[in-house]
Amino acid sequence: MPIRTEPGRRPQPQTVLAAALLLVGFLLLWSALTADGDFGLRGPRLAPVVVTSAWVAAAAVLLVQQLRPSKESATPKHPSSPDNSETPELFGREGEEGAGAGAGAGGAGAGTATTGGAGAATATTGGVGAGSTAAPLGVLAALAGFAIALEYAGFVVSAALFTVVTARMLGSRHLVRDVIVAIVLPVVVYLAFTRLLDIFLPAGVFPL
Amino acid sequence: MSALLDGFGTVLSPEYLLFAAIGVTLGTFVGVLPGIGPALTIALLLPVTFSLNDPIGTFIMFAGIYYGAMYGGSTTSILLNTPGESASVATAIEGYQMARRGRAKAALATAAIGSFVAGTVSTLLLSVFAPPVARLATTFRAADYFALALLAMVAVTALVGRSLVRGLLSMIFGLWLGLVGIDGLTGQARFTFGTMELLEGIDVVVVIVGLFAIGETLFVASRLRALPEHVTPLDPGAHKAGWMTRDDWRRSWAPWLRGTAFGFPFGALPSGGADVPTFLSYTYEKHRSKNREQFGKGAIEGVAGPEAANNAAFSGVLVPLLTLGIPTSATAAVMLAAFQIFNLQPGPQLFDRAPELVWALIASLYVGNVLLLVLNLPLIRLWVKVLQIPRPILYAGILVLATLGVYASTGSVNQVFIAYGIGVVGLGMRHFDFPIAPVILGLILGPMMELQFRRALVLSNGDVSVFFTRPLTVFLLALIVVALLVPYLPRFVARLRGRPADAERLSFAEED
Repeated sequence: MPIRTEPGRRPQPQTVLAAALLLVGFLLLWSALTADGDFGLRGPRLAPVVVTSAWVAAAAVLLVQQLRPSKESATPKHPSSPDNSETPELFGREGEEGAGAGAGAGGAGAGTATTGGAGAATATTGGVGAGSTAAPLGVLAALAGFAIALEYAGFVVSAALFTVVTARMLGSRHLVRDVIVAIVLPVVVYLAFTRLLDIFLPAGVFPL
Repeated sequence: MSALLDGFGTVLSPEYLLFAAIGVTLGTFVGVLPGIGPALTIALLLPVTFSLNDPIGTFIMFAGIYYGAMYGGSTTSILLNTPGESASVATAIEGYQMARRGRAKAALATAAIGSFVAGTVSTLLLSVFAPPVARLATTFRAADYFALALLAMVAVTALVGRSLVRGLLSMIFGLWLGLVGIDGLTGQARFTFGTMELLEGIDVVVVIVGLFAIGETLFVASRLRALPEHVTPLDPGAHKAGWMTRDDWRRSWAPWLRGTAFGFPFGALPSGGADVPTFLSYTYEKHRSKNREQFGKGAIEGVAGPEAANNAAFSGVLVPLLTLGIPTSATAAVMLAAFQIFNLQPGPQLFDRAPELVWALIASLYVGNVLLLVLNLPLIRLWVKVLQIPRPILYAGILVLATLGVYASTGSVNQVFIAYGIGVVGLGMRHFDFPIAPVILGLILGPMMELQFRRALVLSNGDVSVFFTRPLTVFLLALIVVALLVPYLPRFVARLRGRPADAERLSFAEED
């Protein structure tokens, strides 16, 4: 697997992330230090301070590593992986992860081929191009709608709608098949959970 | 020994055999689905257990699920070249190449039989080793438990993932999640930011489902079209390849046994479950094989050894889990959560308080192994069909089940939103190459560690020397230093031998 870091064009997402982690760490440490209560060894305030201090320290180390080229980012390679020129698909996943980790924007290898315009990535999403951030965001929106609808419309209706919408967003082209699955699956799950297992699920508008 | 026989007596009743069969089938079914490992399988099925008022049946089922999920992962690796978890990576390398050369059935068979051999041998070792360790553990005091939990966490974090600092950050995130909520000893609210929802803390199931199911699916959604869709056929048209040939058997049996020998001890040590031994086994077989030139092109040894190691590690993982209550892998952490649902605390007392459960569980491992072998080779065509479920529907379904799982186990939409939030964090972690398993371990071990730390100090009237005066505690704390140094060993050895330090930090991929 080629090492995808070129010290010259150090990418920013990882550095931004490390800085953000450091900032969050400081905020949490501040919140732990200013909370009231017993800071003694046996008290409830010691662990929060220790954990958030460790957070700050680790994030600081990560930031330093990111700013200093070639050490951290040159190692994302599997130790005992064989000559993986033979298995490009297998390491495609890691190539892409590595692209996020090491080179960030403009990730080399398998990453670029699939994510398209990786160079146009925003700071918060790392090496993902515009085309591929849309899918997770859409799925997240659908999830939020599902959770909100759950208690009003009931499990079966909201799950059915969610399944169809999400399957479409993930690239399904078979509407009829999706609709059939989206109706059968929630009904079966609903009946199994409520009738066989006695687990409460909101029935909502489902007439059962 | 008679305890084990009693265990068999329990398991071999028709009802529990049914639980075992359901577990193995369910586990294989979900394990075959690409991208879903045993930890997630059990997490998704946790809500089901709430209403099953039967801990023995549940754990028998879980053991079956675990074995099944491991085995299902190898099917996916071989036929689709998509390892469901990192312990299957080695199998994916050689197994997929075998399948491409028309030897899919031989690869599947050596994986299945290797798993059976390893599972049986290592369950035997578990039955032998668990009782003495449990007896030893009864002498543990609070300070020892604190040191042990710290050791488990540091060791897993140091070895898992490719960067120590990334692993540490993951673990610290888990530790922080574990702090959220009301402090059990004093009732003080911590990190609740004034909200009611966070007072009850963040449930382990919510985190597991969020990180594994939701985070993973969102990650896949960002790159769905890049996943291989093509399932390698079982019987390539031209020549009819059968199961294993005599030569395959000859080349497989030793790697099976060696893989078992790697797997069991590494599973029992806090080293991150099955990843370390599978890679060790793969590397070892590669170096020692007479057919070294076949490695990377489909060497059967490269499937037989790692698959055996993979399975043996699970029984190994059960030793510290059952005897000390210390999970050493993400899956073990989920099982620990399952124990807690039944108000059972794994640890030395478990052998005294619930011997029936422990021995039935151990006996069910033998039974599960047999069932796996009996059910799976004939059913392989069915699993190939499962592999052909269209991805968009599959991942939509996983999200529905994940949401359902969180909702059913907490009864609250707020918890569902917390799980989604953690899913977004999981997506970010996957994207930026942070290992996920340390989060779960931090979340589970952190509160345990804090509790034992404070308990030790309460018992000693606040005297800190309690951590440095007992030899056992000092020994465990010293092991932590060793665990931190081990990853740098290859580089150090290389330097000693006068070679340039090109050796990499020893590290292993994440999860089970």
